Amino acid sequence: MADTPRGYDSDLLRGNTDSLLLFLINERGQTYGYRLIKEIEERSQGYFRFKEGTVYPALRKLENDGLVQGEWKKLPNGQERRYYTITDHGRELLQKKLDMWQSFASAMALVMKPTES
Amino acid sequence: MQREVSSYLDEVKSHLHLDPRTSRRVINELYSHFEEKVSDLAQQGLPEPEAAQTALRSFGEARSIARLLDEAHSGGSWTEALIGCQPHLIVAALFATHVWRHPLLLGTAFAAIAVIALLGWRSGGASWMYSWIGYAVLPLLVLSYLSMDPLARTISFLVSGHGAPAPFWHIGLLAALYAFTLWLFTSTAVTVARRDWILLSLMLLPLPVMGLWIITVTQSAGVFVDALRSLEARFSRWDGAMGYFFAVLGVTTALFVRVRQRALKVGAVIAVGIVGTAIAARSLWGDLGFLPLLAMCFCLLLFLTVPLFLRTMLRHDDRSEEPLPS
Repeated sequence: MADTPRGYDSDLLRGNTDSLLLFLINERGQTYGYRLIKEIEERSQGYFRFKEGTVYPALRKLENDGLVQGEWKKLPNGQERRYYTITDHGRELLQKKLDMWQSFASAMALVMKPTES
Repeated sequence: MQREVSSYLDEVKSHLHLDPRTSRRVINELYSHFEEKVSDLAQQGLPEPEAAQTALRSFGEARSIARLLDEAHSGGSWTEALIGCQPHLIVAALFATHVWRHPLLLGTAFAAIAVIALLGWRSGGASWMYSWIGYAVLPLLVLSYLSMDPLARTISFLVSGHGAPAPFWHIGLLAALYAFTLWLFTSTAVTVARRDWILLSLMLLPLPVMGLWIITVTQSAGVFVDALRSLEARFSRWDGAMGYFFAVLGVTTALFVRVRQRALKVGAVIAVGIVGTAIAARSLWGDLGFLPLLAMCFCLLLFLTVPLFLRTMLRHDDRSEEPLPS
């Protein structure tokens, strides 16, 4: 999913895309693909850059797994846009992933802290 | 919207293998993405053509995005996989229990298969239904083959003057049957190939073995029940082999419905179609020898990939079929 050699392993971002999307969908209540892409880029201050087209298959997979729910809404200009809302199952998984991430990050920081001898 | 964006979305669409409704919605979602992105970039001061180019560049290559979208949409549930493999398992059971020799039970099984296939078709094209459709058209194909005798007699009479021709009404009835079978088979095949050629290959998967078996049975014994009884011992052996073959088709179909990766789907259908049919042919006809076996495998490969050529021919029509949102 990641496109850019910005000093991180693209597999690292690929493995955490679901968490990023779930987190933002949960926080926004209801949001859509383009807004998610824009928000990830803004919040990471341009650090995370996606091939934007890959976000839509990722959203579809979340939907297939019952983690988010999609709904078409008609816009004033007559176009349709698909909005995503997190499900209870998605919220549970997000909480687990956040806990896991925090434990992992803490453990990494502990191990990688320079020794004081 | 810029022409480049429209042709990009056309290209994505041409590589999608989804049912028309899902495909349309996927493209609508991407269209609304581009609309907003181009508008955002234009507000930042980029001229619209350049904004469209930038939006396309950051979206990714059309073919790989279509592949990801396909994969995301195509993995069926276990329930769908279970439903998809049922017609093969029903036919496997008909052979394993020798029930295919009871016309009433055989007719009931195929009528039930046809009804379920029709319901699946009308519900909009779930991936489980294609195996059912293959069996739903089978009785008409078999009937057409078995009823060729009067036609052959009439042709022989017209050509050589020997024998007696079939009555005119008989020939008229046969012509109607052939026309209907041809129309039903062709229109179904075209509709399925329009969605995805590999679904048509999946649908056609049981036909070669069924064809070999019917030809072998009718050549050996004709179609009369008394004559069939005379081949009891051979049938028992054939029934076992046919039962195994259709059970393998059932497992293959379940795998096909369940997995997301297209390469796996194509590989499973082609490999099982060729190897399975060749093994079934060996148990019907005995050792064929290397060259005939090779020729048969080649014909099977051709048969299972004809849908790909059909799809390529239809692609041009598809591009003009549904305009993008405007």
